[in-house]
Amino acid sequence: MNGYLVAANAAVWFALAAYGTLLVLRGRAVERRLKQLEMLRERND
Amino acid sequence: MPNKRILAPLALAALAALAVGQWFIWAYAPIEETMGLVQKIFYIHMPLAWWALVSFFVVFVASIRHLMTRSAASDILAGAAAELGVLLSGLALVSGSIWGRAAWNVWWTWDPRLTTTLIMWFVYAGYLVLRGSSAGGGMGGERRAMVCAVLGVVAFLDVPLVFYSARIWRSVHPAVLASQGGGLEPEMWHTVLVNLLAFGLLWLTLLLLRFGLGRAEERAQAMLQGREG
Repeated sequence: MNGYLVAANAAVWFALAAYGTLLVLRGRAVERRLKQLEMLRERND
Repeated sequence: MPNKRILAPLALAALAALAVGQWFIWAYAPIEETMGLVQKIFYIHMPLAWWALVSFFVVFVASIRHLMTRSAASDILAGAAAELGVLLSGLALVSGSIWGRAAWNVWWTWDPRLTTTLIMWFVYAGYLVLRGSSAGGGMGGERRAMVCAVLGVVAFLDVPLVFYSARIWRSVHPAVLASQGGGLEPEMWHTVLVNLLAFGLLWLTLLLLRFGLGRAEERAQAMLQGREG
């Protein structure tokens, strides 16, 4: 297998997978924060 | 996430399409005679560059909409598309550089297509830095959104230059869409089209995911400010 081909594919797929994973993890963290804030608001009302 | 019902099937469709695209690259497309296996980088390089340009077009349209309506959703969509565009154009530059090393024996050359793409990357990276500036106590949300919208419109001036650079100026970069057939065999064209579609589905998935995240962050910020105020 050609080294340049492997390097280009590795760079592209690793970066895309990392970005997708980061978005999902950040999304989950924000969802948790939103739930906590809603609970706090309900407790204060 | 507000788009959860759409996102899961869309992500699965994108993954399936990318798998099909890989089959086309490795099993269906013939090996190019002059360059050999390295030519296969083209099948991921071109969709990355194409969808990066589409991302910047979305930034342009969303920025105009924000300037006209002051809609927060347009501002968030512009930011999401810019982030995705910077990632995809960055990867197009990296994959192109690796291809250039194999084809031209240089990692980089100041060719019109490469130079305009690099300028575009820096302009939109600057746009992202500006968007993040309000977090450090810089510009307020409204003002930051306005300035970003203006930059989102102005920055788009470079995008047609990138697209037409290989045709306007003498460029070593191949202008595949400009020439009839682009010197590609039909099997190669099928592979290009399948991968363009597959990367399009991935692009849409990531854009909706980033947009949903932006909306959720905005909601959390509004709730925090409401509680503090």
